[in-house]
Amino acid sequence: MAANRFNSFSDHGVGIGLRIPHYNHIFSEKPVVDWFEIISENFMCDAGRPMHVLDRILEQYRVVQHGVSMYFGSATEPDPEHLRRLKQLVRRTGTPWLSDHLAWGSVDGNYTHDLLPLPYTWEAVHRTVERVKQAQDVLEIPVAVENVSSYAAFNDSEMSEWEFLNEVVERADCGILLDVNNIYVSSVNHEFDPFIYLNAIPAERVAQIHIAGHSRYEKYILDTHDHPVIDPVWALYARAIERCGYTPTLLEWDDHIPTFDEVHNEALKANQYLEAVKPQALKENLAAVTV
Amino acid sequence: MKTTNAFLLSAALTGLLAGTTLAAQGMNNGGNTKANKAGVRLVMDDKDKHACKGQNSCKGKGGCKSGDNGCASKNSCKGKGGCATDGSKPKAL
Amino acid sequence: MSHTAMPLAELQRQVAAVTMTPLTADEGMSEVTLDGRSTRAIAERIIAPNSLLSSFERLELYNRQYWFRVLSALAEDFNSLRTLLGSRVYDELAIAYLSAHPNRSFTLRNLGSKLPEWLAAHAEFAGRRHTLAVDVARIEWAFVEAFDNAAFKPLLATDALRFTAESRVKLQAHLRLLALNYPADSLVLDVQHRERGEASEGGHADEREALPPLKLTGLRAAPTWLAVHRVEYNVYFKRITREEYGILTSLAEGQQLADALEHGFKHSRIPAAKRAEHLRGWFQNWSELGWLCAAES
Ligand SMILES: [Fe+2]
Repeated sequence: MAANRFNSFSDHGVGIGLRIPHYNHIFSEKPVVDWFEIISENFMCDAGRPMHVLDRILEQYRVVQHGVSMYFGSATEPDPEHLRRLKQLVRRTGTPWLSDHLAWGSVDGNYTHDLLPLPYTWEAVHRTVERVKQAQDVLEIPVAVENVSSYAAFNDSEMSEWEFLNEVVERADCGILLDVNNIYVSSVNHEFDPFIYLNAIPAERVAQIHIAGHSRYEKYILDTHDHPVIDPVWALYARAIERCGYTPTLLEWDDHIPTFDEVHNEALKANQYLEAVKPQALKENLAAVTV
Repeated sequence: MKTTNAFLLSAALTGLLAGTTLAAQGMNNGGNTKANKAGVRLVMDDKDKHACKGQNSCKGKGGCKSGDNGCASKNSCKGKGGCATDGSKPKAL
Repeated sequence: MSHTAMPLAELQRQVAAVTMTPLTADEGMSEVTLDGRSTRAIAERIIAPNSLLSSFERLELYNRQYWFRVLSALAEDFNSLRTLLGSRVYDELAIAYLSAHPNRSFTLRNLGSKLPEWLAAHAEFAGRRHTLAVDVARIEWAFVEAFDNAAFKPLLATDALRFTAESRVKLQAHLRLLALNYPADSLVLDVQHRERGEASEGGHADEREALPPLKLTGLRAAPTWLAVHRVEYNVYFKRITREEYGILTSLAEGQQLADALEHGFKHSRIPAAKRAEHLRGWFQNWSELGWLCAAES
């Protein structure tokens, strides 16, 4: 179930985000890391140092692309240049699948550079489905959509966030990048039970899982990716693995970034949960291959 | 006028040929001579502008540092709710 | 209460308009958008409150987040401009620029692409330092382009052998040519140098802290021509002569080789007898540095 058509039947285990403060360590120490996630937009330039760094990483490591500006939910037309450059990068990295967010962020060609939540309406379902399908057609690899952390809800919403997510992924026939920290953040900000959300997810569509830390304020939580993963999020992760099996898992740490080892060790805590399902998952993989 | 131009042109072409030849040689010696002629080298930081993190502080401006207890005391954070360390209980209303 | 859903595009236009409205002095959400609409009315129509936050406060989180993100991305690229003008003036300038030019590109890399041009037309921010500020902004934007612009294949010796008076070349994509009013490249290098020093002493300059305008000693206006370019993944500043600038920009405009030479020496003070020698050296340097590439046929 975990190695599935939404992640090209990959056996990726625990990875971390590729971040600048770790470049020196990675190139000098060559640590063993199962895989790196890159933010596609940071490598969608033509040449120069970013592409040189990427090529050096690709020589040694498996890389999976994660985007932040596809804005599947934006109602007005996207910049075709974005998809063209993204496809170029997909060819370069050989990413087995690619993810971006179930969000919007641009309108009439103006970019907010934020992952803005969608109103959970049928109009938004249809628009998002159309855009996800278009991306899958052009990129020719599986696309997974990620649930975002949100801080606002809409009066016009006609369904819950998880119902919305389910409608989109079923209709677009795409995968899910399940961010259990985002479920937690949104559950506090929108006052719902995160396990209801998690239990409603079609487990067979989960291509990848994100874990991360966040910042708690007096009246809300922000998804700042600048802390270790908290216990309630690990509890959600445990449940996600119980439902999805052995799934590619990635720790996001984007601000106040500690040493490489600190980040990597935090990510490797996920193995506690993954190991328990690993043998069974591998048997399933083997069966799937031989059928 | 024409002869001057021809003279200058041939000087330019001579230089062009010499430079392209040196560039080809430079590829074999690691491009050191090339770097000498390049001017002043700038200290380079890698750039990583995009991330999918939420943001509640601005590097370019005075503002509330996220994940930092200190920001609760800053004016800019008045009414925005102070930051607590991660994992703590939300304060009651 | 009967309630008709707002079309998605309209909802997004309204939310974006509020989100991109500049913050108040204490970094809260303004009561009115730039075009005079009530942000409170928009928030209440569109955003549902929860038990802790009002519609206004929830939208305000996105409003703050937008400005924090774009301002910090811009400050990263225009650090010397910020140092020159001080944080107070720089902040006003950055907010005005981003209000006039929200990013039209999917990548934050392009956020500052119009800043030099916009600043040139807005003398009200930098006062007596306006001309210098424009120079600094142009250099810093040139750096962004030299950093990751494409690298075309340079001319080879075999190409050079076929060259005539009518030949055309294309300039290297990462090469930026600037005609400046001040030797502002030295200011940019000084700022960088100083900050590196502070960083290595452990007293890392906090970008969030207020910064007074830079004390300028001995920087006088003087026409300066600068090439900003890349070698082996590093960016370099190379001073060039007025004549080099003239020839290279003419070539960039698509002029034939002979015409570009003539243009470059127009009003030149280099004695006629010395010109050939200079040309030989310039063309050798440019082609060695990979600045000259084959024009598209
Ligand atoms: Fe995530």
